[in-house]
Amino acid sequence: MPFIKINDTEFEVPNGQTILEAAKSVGIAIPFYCYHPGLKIVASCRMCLVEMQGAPKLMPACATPITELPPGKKIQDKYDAVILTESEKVKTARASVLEFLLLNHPIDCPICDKAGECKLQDYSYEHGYAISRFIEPKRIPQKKDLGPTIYLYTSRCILCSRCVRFTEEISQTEELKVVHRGAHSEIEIMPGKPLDNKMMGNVVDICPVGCLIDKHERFEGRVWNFTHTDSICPGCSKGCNTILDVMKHDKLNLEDLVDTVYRIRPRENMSVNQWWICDDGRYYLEAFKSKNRLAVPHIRTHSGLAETTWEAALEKTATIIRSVDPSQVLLMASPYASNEENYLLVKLAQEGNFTIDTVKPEYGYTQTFPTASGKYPFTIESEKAPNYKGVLSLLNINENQAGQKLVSGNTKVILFVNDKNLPEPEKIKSACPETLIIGLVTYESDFFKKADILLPSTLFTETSGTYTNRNGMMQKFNRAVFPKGEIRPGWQIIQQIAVALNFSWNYATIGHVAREMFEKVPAFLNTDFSKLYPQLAEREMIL
Amino acid sequence: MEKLITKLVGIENSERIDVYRAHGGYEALPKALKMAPDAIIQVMKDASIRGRGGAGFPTGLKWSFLPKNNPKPRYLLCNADESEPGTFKDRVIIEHDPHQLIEGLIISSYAIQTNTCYIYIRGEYTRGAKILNQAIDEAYASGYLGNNILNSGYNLDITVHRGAGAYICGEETGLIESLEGKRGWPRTKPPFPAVVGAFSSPTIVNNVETLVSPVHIINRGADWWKANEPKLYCVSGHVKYPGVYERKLGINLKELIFDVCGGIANGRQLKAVIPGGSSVPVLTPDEIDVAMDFDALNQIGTALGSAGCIVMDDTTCMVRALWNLLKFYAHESCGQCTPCREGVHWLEMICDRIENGQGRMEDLDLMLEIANNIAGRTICPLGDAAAWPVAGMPDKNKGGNLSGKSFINKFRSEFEYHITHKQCLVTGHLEWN
Repeated sequence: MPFIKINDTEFEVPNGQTILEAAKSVGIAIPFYCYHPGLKIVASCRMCLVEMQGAPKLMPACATPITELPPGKKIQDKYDAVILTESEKVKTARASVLEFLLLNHPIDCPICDKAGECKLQDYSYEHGYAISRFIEPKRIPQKKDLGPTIYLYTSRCILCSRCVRFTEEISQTEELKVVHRGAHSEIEIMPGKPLDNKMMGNVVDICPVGCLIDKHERFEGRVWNFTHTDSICPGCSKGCNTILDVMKHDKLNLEDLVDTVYRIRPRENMSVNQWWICDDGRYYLEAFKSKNRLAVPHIRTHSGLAETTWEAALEKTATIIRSVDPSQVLLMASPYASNEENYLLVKLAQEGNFTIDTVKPEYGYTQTFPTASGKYPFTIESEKAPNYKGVLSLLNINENQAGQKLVSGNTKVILFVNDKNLPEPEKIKSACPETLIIGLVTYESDFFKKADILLPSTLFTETSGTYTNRNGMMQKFNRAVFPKGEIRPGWQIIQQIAVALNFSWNYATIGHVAREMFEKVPAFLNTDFSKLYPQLAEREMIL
Repeated sequence: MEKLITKLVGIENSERIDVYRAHGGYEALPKALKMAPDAIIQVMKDASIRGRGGAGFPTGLKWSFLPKNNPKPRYLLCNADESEPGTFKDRVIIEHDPHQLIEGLIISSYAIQTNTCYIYIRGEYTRGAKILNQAIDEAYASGYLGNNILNSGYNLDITVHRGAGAYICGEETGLIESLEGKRGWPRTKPPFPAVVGAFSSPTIVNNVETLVSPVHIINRGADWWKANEPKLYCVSGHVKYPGVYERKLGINLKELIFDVCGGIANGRQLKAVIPGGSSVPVLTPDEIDVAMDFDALNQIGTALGSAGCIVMDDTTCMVRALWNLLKFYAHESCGQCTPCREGVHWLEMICDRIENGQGRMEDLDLMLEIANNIAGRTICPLGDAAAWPVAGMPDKNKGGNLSGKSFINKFRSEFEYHITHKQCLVTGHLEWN
C-alpha cells in the first residue's frame, strides 16, 4: 500500500486511490466542483488542483491516482507521494479559478434559491478574492425552461457538467448537453426534447451552484431557515434514504409557512439508493397538495359524518368493538404503515383475540436505470408500498395469504390502520353489509364517505418509525414536522383504542414500542437496535 | 539540398499512384513488411525522430508505450487536423503526395500491429480529403491496402474522417473524442491514449509529417536520417517568398528568413518572428540567430512547435497582432476547463480594450497574471498555447511561472503607447478612426 504524506499527515492509502479521496479519508478538505463520486471524473473545474512533489504542474486531486513507487524511487526514501494542499501555489490557483468563475456570474445571491448551500459562495469566502478585477461588461444569458420541473439559470452556471454526466450515465436519457464553445458554452436541451425523466430532480441536488432550480422550490424558502430530518421515502419498497427540509419554527414568524416540508432530497446510502432518489419520491408530497387533510375525528350520525372529540371517537370505537364477538373484529394492518404501528395492531389482535389481516400494496411497474458500467443500477420498484416485507413478517404470513380475510362475511367491524390502497367500499359492503368501518386516515377520500369512524392520523413526515424494504433492510424515518390540529400519530391512536378497551398499555414514546417489537417479534430478533443507523454513516450530502 | 518529403511537389499528377511509383514510391513498404514490427520501432527509436505536431515527443518511444498482451484492437490515428495558425505543411503532403502518407501509414500501422488506421483531416481541407480518398482507393486497387498486403499476410484498412472545424480536435485526446462522435473535449491524462485511446483501446496519434518519416527512415536507414533529418518549415507573413520549405532540422532562423525566403518584402524592416506556430512566444530581430530545432529554441524561451514561422515587419501593430491571436484562442477554447474558458476570453477582452484605446496601465500586469493563472492549469495544452504568446514559456528560475518573455514584455512600449496616447504607435491612429 502506498505510504503518502499530505501536508503534515502521513498515512497509507489503497493503491490507485485518488488524492481527493485519500485526503478526505483523513479529514483534509480539498475544494471541488465537477467531481461527484457517482459520476465520471472529468477534472474540468480545476478547483481541486494540488501540488505534488515531482510533478511539473499542479495536479487535479480528483483525477490523480496514488500508486506505489518502486523501491529506490521513493520520495525521501519512504513516501510514494508528497502532496501539499495549502501551499501558496495551490492557494493562488484556487483563488484564480474562483476569480474566473465569477467573471460573468451575476452574483444575484439575494434572489438565488441556492444561496446558503452554494459551493460558489462557500469557496469564495474560503479561498477567493474579495474584489473583482473584471471591468468588462458581463455576459448575462437568460434563464431557460428545461422541462416540467426545472429551470436553468444560465448565467449562474459554472459548467461543471455534473448534470450533463448525470443524464448520460445515470438516467441515460441524455437530454442535457453542452452547446457552443469557450466562454459561450451553455447547458442546453435539444429542441423539442425537454428534460423529462423519472430521475431529473437529482440534477438540482448535484448542481453545486444555483443554476438548476426546481420549479416547486423556487422562491419558496431560504435554506438557512430549514431544519434537516433524516427520513425514508415511502413511495416504493426500495426504501430510498431521504432528507426532509422543513422551514424552521423559531426563525420565521410566518405561520402558514412553518411546519411544511419544503423539499425532499436524497441522502447518501451506498447499499440502497447511492446518491439519488426518483421524482416519484421527490415530489411525493406534491400529490397531496390539492387534497383536504382530515384534522378532526369524525363519527357517522344519522345526518352523515360529523366532527367529534377524540374522547367520544375512542369511546365509540371501544363500544363498537365490544358489542360484537372478538372473532368478528377484523384489524387490517397495512404495508403503508410503519413496523411499530403494525406491531401494535398485531399485539392488539393477540390480546383481544381479534382477526388480523393486511391490506395489499399497490403495484405499478418496475423502472430500471441501468447506469454506466461500474456503477450501481437504480431501480424504481413496482411494489408501491414501503413496508410490505415488514408487515408480512409481523403477521407471519406470506404474500398469498395477505388480504384473504377481508371478504370472509363473518366480519362486523373493520379497523384500517392506514388509508392507502384500500379495497372498494362497495366490495366490503356487499360482502358484509352490516360491517362498521373504523379508519385511521390522513386525507379525505371516497372510501370514507362510507366509513363510520374516522380517526385523523399522521403522514410519514409527522411521526417516526421503521420501514422494512424489499431487501429486508429495516430503516428508520424521523418526525420532521408536528402534526397539525387534532391529528395524532398512528401508534398513539392504536394505543388509545387499546386503553379504551381496558388493556393496560403504556408506551411513552415510539422508541418503547420499537424496543418491545425487537424483543418479541421472532423475525426482528436478529435486528440490532443500534444498527438502524449504520447506513447513515455519511450523512453529509455531496452537493 | 535533396528533397525527400516534398520531392513530388510541382510534378504533374503527383497525387496519382503511378507518378509516386515512378519516383521510387512504395519501395520502403516491402522492406518494412519483411522486418519484425519491433525492429521498425527500434529503427524509429534509433533515428530519434521527434513528433512534428508541436510537442516534439519522441515517436519511437511513444510507439513502445503500447501495452503488450492487451486483447483489445489497436488503432493508429493520423492527425491531419492542421489548424495552428501559421502552419500548412501537412496540407502540402496530403494534396501533393498522398501516397507517401499512405505508405508511411502502412509501415507505421505494421510497426505497431494495428489493422485499422484513421486519418482525421480538418473539415476545411475538402480538397485534401478528396485527394486522400482517391489515393486510398488506388492503394486498395493496387494491393497496398486491404487484406494480405503484398502477400505478407498483413491486413490494414485506412479511413478518412473529416473534422467539423475545431482547433481543439487537433489535440490528440480531443481528436479521439471527436472521432468517436462526441464533443471534442480533451480527456484527462493518465490514462494516455497509448493505453486507453480511441474506443477504449490502445491508440497511437501522430502528425502527418511524423507518419511520413518511416518511409525515408526505412529507405535510408536511421543513421542517414539522424545526419540529414529533413523538416518542413512553413514561413508566412511579410517575407518575399512565403511558403513551405523542406530543410535540414536545425536550420538557422535568420538564414531561413533572409536567404531561403528572400528577406522581408518591400524593403521593410523585420520586427518580430513567431517561430513555431501561433502558440509559442514571439522573438525580436536580435534573437533570431538561432537554430530551428527543439532544444535550441527552448533555450531562448520559445519552441519549435509545428515550425509555422510567422514573420512580421515594422508595419505590424503588436497589440493588434496579440489581439488577433487571443481572439483565435478565445474562439477555439473548448470550454471544458475553467481557466482556459474564462481566462482566455478575459484576456481577449482586455486586449481588445487596449487596442481600441480604452486600456489602463494596470491591464498589462493583469494580463500577465491571468496568463500565469491559465498556463499549466488546464487538461490540454490549449491553455498554455493561449498564455505563452502573452507571457512566455514556463521558467524554472521563476518557480515554473511564465518567464514573461513574449508579446507584452518584449513590446511593452508599444502597448503603453496604445494606453497613454489612445492610438497605435505604428499606424498613428486606431483601427476604427
